[in-house]
Amino acid sequence: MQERGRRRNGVASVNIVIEHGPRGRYGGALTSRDEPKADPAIAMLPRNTRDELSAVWLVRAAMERRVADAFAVIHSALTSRRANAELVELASRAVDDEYRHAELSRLVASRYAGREVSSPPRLQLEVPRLAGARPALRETLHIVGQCILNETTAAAYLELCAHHAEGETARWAIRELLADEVDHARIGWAHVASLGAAARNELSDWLLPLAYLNLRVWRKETIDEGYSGGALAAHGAPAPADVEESLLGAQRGLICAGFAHVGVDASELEAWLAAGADTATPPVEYSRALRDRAMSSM
Amino acid sequence: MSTSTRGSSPLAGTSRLFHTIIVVGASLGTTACGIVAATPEEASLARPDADASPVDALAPDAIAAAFCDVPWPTTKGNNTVLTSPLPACVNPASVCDKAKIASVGPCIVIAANGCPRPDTSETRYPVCVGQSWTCEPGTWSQMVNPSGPCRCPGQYLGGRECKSEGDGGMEWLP
Repeated sequence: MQERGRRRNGVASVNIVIEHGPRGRYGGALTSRDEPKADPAIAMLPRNTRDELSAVWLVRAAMERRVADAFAVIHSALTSRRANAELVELASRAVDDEYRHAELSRLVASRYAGREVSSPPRLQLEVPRLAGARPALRETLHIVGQCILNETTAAAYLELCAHHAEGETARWAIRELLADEVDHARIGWAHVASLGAAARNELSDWLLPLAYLNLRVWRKETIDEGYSGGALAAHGAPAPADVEESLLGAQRGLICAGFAHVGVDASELEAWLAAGADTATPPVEYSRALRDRAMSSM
Repeated sequence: MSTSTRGSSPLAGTSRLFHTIIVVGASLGTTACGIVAATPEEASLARPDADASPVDALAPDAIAAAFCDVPWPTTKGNNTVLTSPLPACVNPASVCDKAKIASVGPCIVIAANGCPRPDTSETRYPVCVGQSWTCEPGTWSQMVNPSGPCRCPGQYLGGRECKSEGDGGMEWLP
């Protein structure tokens, strides 16, 4: 259910969109734990740093809201693939989780701003086309792309954020987000683990393009070339070098290792990562399917 | 270079995350959830001697295209620039009306005797039919060669053009 609220904040009017509902993880509550009553670390920050952090968290609010749309697609894919009801239910709850994440991130943005800020504009979801995959495979690849690649990376990124965060508000928000992202990633791993050997084998050729696109967009979205340093990491916005290390660590230590754990050959992806995981150009030379085609046409 | 006061990133936590996400997740798929029954389509793929399907033959092109696809957008990030959404794409009537009149001219109402009544003020604007401006039944234009297409872009915002066929619309062209 969507509820739109308009609150007065002094003379300014803010538009707050609240969409999470009573069927969600916490029965309609925003978080498992109450927001910290006070956060002296925020009050000590210079105004421009507070504004910067507010902007960071508001962008996250917009991104979280878009992920709710993504999980609506995943829910549909799991239903179509006749996945276990437990996973379908988790995906349904994930939509509500992401609604909560959007509002939680907006709330944090407001704390840094020192005033209520409006919900951000909606970001449009563009679903990967995967035009060459037949529908059933495309659905499975969507689950892999969103849950395994995206949410596992998100969990690693949040671990990094939590590691550096010192402000009580940031730590509270990151902990809440991380708990849910773990669940969301599990949906993907559970689904792939439940597939038969043939269906798992079929995934292998697709992992490299999916992971390449995923790492490229994570680098683009989270590595801030204009990072001003200072107190940002202590409030949930870690330094670029740490982010890069975390992203690669997730690819190697979680995603590749995870595929090995569930019996999916990710050797193309491993080779590309071992060579430095350049995302400037598509790493087609690591694709066996493309290499074989090139050889046969010679 | 890290600016953190807490040292390098927590890669030591990777093994904990691995267990929490992958080991537990995979066990959900293989135990609590049970193995999902393979569809007939998947079952045929499982046969080692299964004939190559047309889909298989297309696979390299499909893989090549996948490198140029869009990714699932990230769940976290700092760098996206938030901009207000484009407003509803509606052509200002005056802009479309100018385009209509220039293409067809005003449509003059035809009287009961079959003659146009140019002396009346009951002129009508052309409408878009079959991608061309045309006069509605019961009206007439002296321009004998009205030519379409009858798009009349009226709004340009953020480098994007409002696509319309004269009566406004909701689509913004990139």
